[in-house]
Amino acid sequence: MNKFLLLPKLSVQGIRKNGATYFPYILAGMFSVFAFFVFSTIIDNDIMKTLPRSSYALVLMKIGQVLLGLILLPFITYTNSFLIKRRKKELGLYSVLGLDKKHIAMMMVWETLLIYAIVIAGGVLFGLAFSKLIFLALIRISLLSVDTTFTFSLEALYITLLYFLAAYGINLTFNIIHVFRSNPNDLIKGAKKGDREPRHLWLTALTGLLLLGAGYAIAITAKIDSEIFLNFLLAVSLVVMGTHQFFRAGLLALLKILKRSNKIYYRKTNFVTISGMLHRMKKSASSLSNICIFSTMTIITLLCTLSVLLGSEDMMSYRYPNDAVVTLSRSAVEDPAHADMKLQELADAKQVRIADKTAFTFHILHVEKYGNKFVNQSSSDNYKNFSAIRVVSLEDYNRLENRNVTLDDDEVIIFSTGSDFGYDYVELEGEAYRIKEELASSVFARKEKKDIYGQHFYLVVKDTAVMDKLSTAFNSTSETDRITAFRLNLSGEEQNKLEFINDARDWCGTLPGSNKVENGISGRLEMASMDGSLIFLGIFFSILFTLCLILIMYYKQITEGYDDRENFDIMQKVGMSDAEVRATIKKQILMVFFSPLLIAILHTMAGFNMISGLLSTLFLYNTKLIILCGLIVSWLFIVIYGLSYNITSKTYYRIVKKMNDNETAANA
Amino acid sequence: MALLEVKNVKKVYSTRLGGNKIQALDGVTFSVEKGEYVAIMGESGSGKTTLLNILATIDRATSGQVILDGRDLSKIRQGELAAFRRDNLGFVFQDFNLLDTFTLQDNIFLPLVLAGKQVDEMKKRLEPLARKLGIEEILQKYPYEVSGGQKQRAATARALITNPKIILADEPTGALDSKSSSRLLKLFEEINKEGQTILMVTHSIQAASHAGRVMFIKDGCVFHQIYRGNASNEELYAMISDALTVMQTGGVKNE
Repeated sequence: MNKFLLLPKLSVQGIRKNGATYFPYILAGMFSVFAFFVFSTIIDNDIMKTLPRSSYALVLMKIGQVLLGLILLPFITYTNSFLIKRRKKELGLYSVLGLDKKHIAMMMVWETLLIYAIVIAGGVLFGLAFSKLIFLALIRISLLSVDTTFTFSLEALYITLLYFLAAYGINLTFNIIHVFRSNPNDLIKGAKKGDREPRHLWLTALTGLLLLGAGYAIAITAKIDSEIFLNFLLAVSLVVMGTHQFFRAGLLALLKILKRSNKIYYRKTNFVTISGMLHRMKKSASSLSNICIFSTMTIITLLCTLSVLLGSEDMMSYRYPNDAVVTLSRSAVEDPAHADMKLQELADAKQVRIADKTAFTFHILHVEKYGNKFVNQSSSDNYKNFSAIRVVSLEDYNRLENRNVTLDDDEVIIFSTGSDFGYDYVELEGEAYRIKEELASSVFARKEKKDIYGQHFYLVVKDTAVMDKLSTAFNSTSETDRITAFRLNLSGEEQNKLEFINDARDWCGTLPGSNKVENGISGRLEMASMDGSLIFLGIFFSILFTLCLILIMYYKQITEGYDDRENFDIMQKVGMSDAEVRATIKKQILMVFFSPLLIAILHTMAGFNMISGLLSTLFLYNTKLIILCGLIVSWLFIVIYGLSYNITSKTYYRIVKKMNDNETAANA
Repeated sequence: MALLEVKNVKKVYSTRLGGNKIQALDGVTFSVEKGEYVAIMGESGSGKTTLLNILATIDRATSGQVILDGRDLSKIRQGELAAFRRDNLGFVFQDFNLLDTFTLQDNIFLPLVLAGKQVDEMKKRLEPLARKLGIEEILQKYPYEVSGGQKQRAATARALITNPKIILADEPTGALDSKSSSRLLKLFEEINKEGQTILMVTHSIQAASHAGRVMFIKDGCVFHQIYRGNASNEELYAMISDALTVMQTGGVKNE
């Protein structure tokens, strides 16, 4: 036969003959292609450019795509490591029969190409068939009110092709190096050999712990500032790497300790489990770390999604507490009462009732804050200390809060929208004022201790004379630094409210100075759709991660089932009962499955600060809600996890069992 | 009373739909006394593996009785079978059946671990056994690191460590070179001299010539038996070889 045809033919045969090994490998590959392709298609879709505030979502999605690539790569190499180990024997045989290593390598190239083609074809076809469906379903779920036509993009296909070419290239290189480094005899024995211990166990363990520690430290100490996304990525990568190292070394160390203890090791169920795991510790470790990482991602994604879903009302009312806010600068309002009347007039014209109104005048001071000292802003280099003070007269304050407080010239009442101010005196451009009272809540704004980013202060002073003095002292005398605000909540027809807000905006435009009307109603709508798109992403990723997770678990159990069935067969011959086989399997799987779950929950807890930080950039400050969501999600996840544990252990048992049945039948 | 009694054991396999019936064993009767070393010979398909499987409680007879030390094997409940095997039988297989996940020592310990024995006792039992079998040096190695002969000696240790009533060996030398084979067979002889009952199924005349009695099975029946008497291994070898020639040329049953 022609030599050029022989090699491809051998590779086709190789795949067909090893169906049991290749099937899960191809399945895992197809799934990866499917996930990557669908994701890339969604990113590349027009909808991502037309969604409100989509630039934000687009960035998130792009980060997601990179993460997805980073996640799928170990997943694919992980499945490959099972494959090559099982095929070593056959490759060794070819080598003995006279195929050069060069030819074996060529055959593997053919094989990889074939698998690549199958996987891409399958994954993309499924992707084409289902991505629109998934997309529409998710739009429905996330209540996104967008008209959309979902289109397929060549760009996505191109990226997918490239990415997987690289991934399978890496696998192929790995396999070829493996074959070239071993002699035929090793290859034939390959399937049986145990994993070698990593050379520097303690070093690996140490780096693992250091990486984890660094990741945790970043996550726990992370501040909510412009660097939080960068920190988030950094912490995630550190923890991912750390988890891999940790499981590799930690697992081995644990198993060795267990093995050293005769009492534990030589017990029925432990005996088989511990030695089995030591035998394939590399794969065990990478399975465990992959399961752990996917669990963590699933939990965190679900947690964020649920928090946004349940907290979105809260987020909206925090960002837009009022239906409309009319802010008039000084020259527009010589007489606030007149403006008030005019607004009432406009409202009446549209049959809108002003249900609730908060009107007051304040001066804005642009300051740098150093402890309890506020000074003039000098240079933009100090932007980290920039803050703002709104000065309100006692008269307005007493009126709004229905109080009867008195203040001296050098006394103030302070209110911080963020964390408490906490001093007895405040120094304003060198002049000290006694703080008569720090308000825990006020009509001026909602207090949110965690809002570090948007923190500003309200200062109630004796009278307008003090207000003017401060404005002068801080050079804050421009047109827009003296504001009269009307915060309105409206009742009436939705349409009428919007019309009223528009009318008010028109009227403001006719006034001198710089005036603004903030439309809370449409602002909230806009937020709702942004939250919707986040929820949409969250659900997509949750499902993706869960599927990956289940697939890894399932994959692991299937491949190990095939590895183990011979062992269990022997053990049954030597005198292990069916019940003992079951108990051993149960124990083995229990240990394999529940240690990553534990660590995943630990990861989630360590990441909690960062998660709530990220959520607070969306104006979600309700820590209790996030904790509640965390609990719900953890429980939910444990249930899902338990179910897949159940299914995989049954599959595993079936594989082990079937072999024994066949064996008995064959003996007959 | 004999240690093992096989009374008129028949085994019929029927194909899945019950159409064809294959008679694998057709009324096998024999007994083995305590301390005996019996070799069962027969061609492929003669039913010797079926017989061994029934003795090993892996398979059940269609009719007839197998009694080991006064206990009827067919009366043992499914759930107890594993424990019964563990406590009463020792197995040596052609392909060793050692677990690659265990060191040789742990392989040997396996039945004891399954029986819930203490480590100290296991070690106490292993020590003289390992010395006798010449595997002391390699106890910490894995099966894929040692030779076939060493593997089979480890497997023998695994069979012996439970102090079984009877050792069932299925072609123990089948995968060994001649040097390892004769070493193993000498070991079997020694073990037998110390009182261990052994039942071995084999093709090999050389292997059978170490036994105290050789039983020939043909077409599901015991066809012929040779007792060693005072014959040497070489003499027994010649007798077996003669018997096989007669069998193959179509001898008369139970002469």
